[in-house]
Amino acid sequence: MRELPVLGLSPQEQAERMRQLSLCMGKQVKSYWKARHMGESSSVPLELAQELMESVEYTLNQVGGMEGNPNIWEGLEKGQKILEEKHSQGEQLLRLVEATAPVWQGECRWDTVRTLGRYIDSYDWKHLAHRLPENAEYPLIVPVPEHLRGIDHGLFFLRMLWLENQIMDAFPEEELDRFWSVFCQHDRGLTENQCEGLLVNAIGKALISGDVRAPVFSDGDWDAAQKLLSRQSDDAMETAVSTAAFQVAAALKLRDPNAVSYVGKVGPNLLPRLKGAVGSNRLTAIFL
Amino acid sequence: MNELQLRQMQLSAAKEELRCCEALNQLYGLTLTEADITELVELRGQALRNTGRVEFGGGILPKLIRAFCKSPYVDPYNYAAVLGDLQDAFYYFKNESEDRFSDDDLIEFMEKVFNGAAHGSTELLCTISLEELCRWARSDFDPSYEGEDIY
Repeated sequence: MRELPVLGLSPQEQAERMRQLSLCMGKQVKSYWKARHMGESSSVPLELAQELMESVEYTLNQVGGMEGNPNIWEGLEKGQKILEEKHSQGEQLLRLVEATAPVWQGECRWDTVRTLGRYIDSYDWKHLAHRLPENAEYPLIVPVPEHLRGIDHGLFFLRMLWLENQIMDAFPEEELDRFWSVFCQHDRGLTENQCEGLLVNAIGKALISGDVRAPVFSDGDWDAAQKLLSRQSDDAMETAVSTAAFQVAAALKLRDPNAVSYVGKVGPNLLPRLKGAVGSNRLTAIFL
Repeated sequence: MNELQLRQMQLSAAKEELRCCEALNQLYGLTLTEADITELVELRGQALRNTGRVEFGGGILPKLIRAFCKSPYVDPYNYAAVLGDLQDAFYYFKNESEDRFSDDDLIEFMEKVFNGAAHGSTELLCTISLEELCRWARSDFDPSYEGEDIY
């Protein structure tokens, strides 16, 4: 157990907080046991106690942490209500992500959706609220921030998948099919981010004023892109890529501002690779 | 505030709970002195550390007192020592059973073996009842079983 964040309090106040925390943990242990077994148990293995404590800390952090809650039990109950709401948001988001998944989806993405589904189904916001989804390995364009724990981590992941679904859904189906064919020959073992690959090509098309909704490059497209980009300074290329990303969002008629912003995040990831490829006249390695 | 202070608070809460059992002890002609209480509470801490367990309430001793104070095998001379051994055995069994039994079920089982097959010997209780405990855990062992004479 770590030193708990109750600094700045008088010794009496600290003692009171610790008394409350101890009572609170006693209740959590009993409640945890009751939810899983018959009868009661007053003690638990150390590892489980540490997990229950982390969960209490995470739950209290939903409502201002230990410092913001003079009554720890009340704070815990308020935090649990918030987590319960977040959990039901997670259930809705999961249904949305499942229902709008692209027709063609690699196994890695499927596995991640299934993993998140199991996580949401078994999420214990009362006792083990801090736990993260295990084995959600699909690489997002915007990775889950490291500080996000518990359901916040799961919700972030689901939101990103939902944004990707909206983006991929905005492309005509036959164009998507053509793209998956050149992207990975419809290989379901694909472990890369599908949406990023698609957006990179769409940005490429926007750079050469092509049809972003038909992202597969044709013979003349690489030459046009090479000609255009090789004349540009680094700063100009950065501006062009950034502008192209927003042109893609506009052409796809994305209404969700978060989806627009998600498209915008592809640019910074793409730039270093793009600069290298332009220098070596190998844009075929970037745009497909 | 740190773990040490938390532990001190838990110790005083546990002592207070044991003092509250004194009326019940006296009903059976038993008693726990302040020195006994202090020792039992310290033994509790050791037993928990040895078994890698954590407890946030007053501990299992009040429940053990309620179950064992009426045993024909305890008297004012061995009472504190027996409770200390039972407490050790309890946390040990709790781990051995991988937390599959509730506190009450485990105490009931210990009480039956202690007053039955073990004839009041905590040493024997620990020796024989672990095997019985495992048998109970692995099969549908009858909890009303009172134990065979082990001699």
